Amino acid sequence: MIRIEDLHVRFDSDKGTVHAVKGVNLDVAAGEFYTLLGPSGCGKTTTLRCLAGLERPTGGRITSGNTVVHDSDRGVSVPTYKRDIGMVFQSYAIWPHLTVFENVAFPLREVRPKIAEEEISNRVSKALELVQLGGYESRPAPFLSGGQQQRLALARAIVREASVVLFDEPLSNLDAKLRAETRLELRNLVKRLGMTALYVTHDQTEALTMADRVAIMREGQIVQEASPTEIYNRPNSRFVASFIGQCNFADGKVRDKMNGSGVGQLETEWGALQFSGDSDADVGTSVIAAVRPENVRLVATGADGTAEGEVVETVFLGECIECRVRVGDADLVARVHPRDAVDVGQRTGVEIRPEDVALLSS
Amino acid sequence: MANTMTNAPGEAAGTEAKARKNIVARMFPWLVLLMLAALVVAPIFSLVAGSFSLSRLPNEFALDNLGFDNFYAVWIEQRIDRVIWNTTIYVIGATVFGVTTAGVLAWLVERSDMPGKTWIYAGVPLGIAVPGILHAIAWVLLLSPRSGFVNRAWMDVTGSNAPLFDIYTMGGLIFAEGLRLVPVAFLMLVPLMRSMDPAMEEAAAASGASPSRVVRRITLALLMPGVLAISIFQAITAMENFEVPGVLGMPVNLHVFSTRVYNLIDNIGSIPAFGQANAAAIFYLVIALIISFFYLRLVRSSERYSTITGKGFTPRKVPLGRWRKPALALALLFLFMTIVLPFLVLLYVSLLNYLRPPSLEAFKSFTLQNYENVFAQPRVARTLFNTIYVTLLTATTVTVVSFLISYIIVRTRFAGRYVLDMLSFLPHAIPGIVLGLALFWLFMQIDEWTGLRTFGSIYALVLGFTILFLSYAVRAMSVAMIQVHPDLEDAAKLSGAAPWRIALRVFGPLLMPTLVGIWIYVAMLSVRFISLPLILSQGGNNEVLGVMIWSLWDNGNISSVGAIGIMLMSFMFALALGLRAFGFGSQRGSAL
Repeated sequence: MIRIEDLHVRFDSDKGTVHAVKGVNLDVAAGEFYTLLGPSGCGKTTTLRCLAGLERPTGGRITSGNTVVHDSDRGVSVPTYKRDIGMVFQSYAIWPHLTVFENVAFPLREVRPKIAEEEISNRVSKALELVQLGGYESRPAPFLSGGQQQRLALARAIVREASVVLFDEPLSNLDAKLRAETRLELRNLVKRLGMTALYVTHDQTEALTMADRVAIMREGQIVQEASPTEIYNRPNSRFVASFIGQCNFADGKVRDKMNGSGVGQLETEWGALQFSGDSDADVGTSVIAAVRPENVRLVATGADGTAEGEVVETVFLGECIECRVRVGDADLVARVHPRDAVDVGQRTGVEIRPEDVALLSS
Repeated sequence: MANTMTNAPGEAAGTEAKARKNIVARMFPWLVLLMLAALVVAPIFSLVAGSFSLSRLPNEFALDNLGFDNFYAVWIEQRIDRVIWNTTIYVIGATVFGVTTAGVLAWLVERSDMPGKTWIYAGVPLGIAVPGILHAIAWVLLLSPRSGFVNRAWMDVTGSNAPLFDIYTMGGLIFAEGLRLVPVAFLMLVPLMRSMDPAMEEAAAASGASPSRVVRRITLALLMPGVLAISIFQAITAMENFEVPGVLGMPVNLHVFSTRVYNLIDNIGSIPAFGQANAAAIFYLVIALIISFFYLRLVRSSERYSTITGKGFTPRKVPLGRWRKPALALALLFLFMTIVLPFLVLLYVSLLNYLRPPSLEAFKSFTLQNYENVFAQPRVARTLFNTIYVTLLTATTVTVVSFLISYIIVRTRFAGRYVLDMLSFLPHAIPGIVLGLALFWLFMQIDEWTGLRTFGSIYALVLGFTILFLSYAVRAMSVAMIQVHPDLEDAAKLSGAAPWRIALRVFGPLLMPTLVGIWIYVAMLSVRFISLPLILSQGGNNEVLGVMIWSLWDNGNISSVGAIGIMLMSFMFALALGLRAFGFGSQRGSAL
């Protein structure tokens, strides 16, 4: 549905030329919810704006549906208003001089040949019902709360029933509670309407909970693209592992390659560690072992083959307790249920399952 | 117990001192309010009283000689209704012309990819430096029907008997005043365009609206309330202006309000009609007040539309394509007409021994004689001294007073701060000529009662200017103060700084660009403002440059006008560059 090939964007700024997007490739299937995730300044918004036609790429090709909307080599560039898209802006961009109804009706009024007033009215009402803003039609748009404005922006983006809908950090201006509620609502709505969504965010929770597929961007490039579970469990770099969720890292060396049962041996700062999975690292290779805090189990000391350490710090987080354990020369953060509370200074065994160890190249 | 006993007297003395300090602190805002009320109300009161006076001279004012005759005379005999009609056409024409021109320039600079934008952006506000009287005189020299250089050249080339364009007409008035409105309108429009969230337009494009539809349905619609407010503000400025209609309209009896009021007290061959002038001034003032009232309401309600989100935007520049060069040419033409041309024309006449159209012989005859003549006159030296003295004193007074007023309005919970706000805006609605007349009456009365010589003193001018320019300064200052987050002061307070230390170390440095900017801007206004000193000037004691140029022009001494005008303009350009150096332009723009 959406295909971006070798996209490059360069800006001229006061500090010289900035290479904001460096060869991005992506392919979004029809009906897919695709998320671009990355820290600010990584080029994710620029990529989205290129797709919308609001930014002009310096190189590359963009296809939306069956139309090539941009091709730098052939000098093709379809202007924004002729592209079949809907878009939700970070600032919502609700027009303050129009009512709620007129804001949503705007895209329909721009359709040629003109749509009958009655149909416009029906479709606007339907869109407003979908975002639960029915009954607000005649209200001036500035008199809505932040959450309502967000939903109004959404209604405006979907009312034209474009095949592609673009989201530019649409939830970042909402408070935490509202954001959590809106996440699922938004995903369900997009799925129900069968739209293809490209969603830009810097919030990992949004990316994990909403997306079918996530692409992590860094310095203008996509560093990993996979499903949310895959990204979380099998990050391919230290950057991805630490950007999504919390992670423990330890330098180590491969001691034994994977044997028949799919388990290999590592020598790390935390001591000996078993790993499994699809790593084909040779014996003696330097690697980084990555372990999520919730995968570290604190067990009684003295069990066979488990590392031992001393609890140096505990932090109460409500639903769990974070324990910092000194194992060998390095620290390891474990997340345990409050019931399994441990005290600072206590000695404890540390157990990590082989499948929870991800190997990253160092 | 014993301890508390021995400490008691000392503590009591401490609280007493504290209480005294508290009273001073609490009285201070009231004092400022009272002072401002006196400054604004006293002249208006004397104006109103004078309008009922049937005595021949202001100092013969008596309670038993009052009546409505002046109003009758003004309405029936002087046909003030015609003046109202003329003023309406002139104000609307100049405003539409000026704001449209400024709008085009601001759009080109802010939103298009026109080349050389920085130069245009820096150049347009420089027009403020050309005093209105010199601007008008330059256009007379170019376009007066018989001897204007352009008209003469036109008639010589085409053999026509009719001039190309007669500047002594309503069209000429609108043209000249419209050009004068552009710099300030431009400074106000630029931040308006800059503060608009470009996502508003992008959302429209993403909704399928073509670029021209985006402009019509979103850009213009969003800018409309702001543009309307700016237009009304400019209309007030045009209505108050005396210099341009004074030079272009008065000689042919084409009167607008400001010139009519002046004409009633200073008309060769007829007795000054002070009472009637006051009556006319009251019509004038009431209309100005009504428009100002609408302006205030509009500004308040347009805040609802505020699209400012406090984010730094980098709006997309609209590509002009093949119109890039013509657009630049248009902008340069404007700069040429408002800044370069007046300067060149005056420079030309200042170098001639007698007035004649440009020719090779004229260029050969260039001489510095006029400059020598001007400096040889003791009157010029005294006038120069007066001007500098008045300018320095006015600028400093206005800056200090506006700082105090703004501080009370913005930063205290003083009960009367809304009244203070209103009172400080009021002078903006008082035309210079009206305030001049009002102060003239007031000073005459004061002199009559006390035997002082306030009228004709240099301080009369300072007082008048201070009242006139206070509203500009208070608005600019308030806006700047609002932008200083109170947390910055609270942080200083928590760090243990005393109030005056906070003012010195936090508030002062943060506001310094504004303070300097206001100082320079008021200085420029005091140099170029003519209507008020024209009425309050009495002999050489308090004659200032503007008044001298006016009387030299009146006497047909064009070469001297040129020489003094060139000096005055150079001085003003220096001030304007100072204003730019402090980056005050855009700030003030948003303030007004």
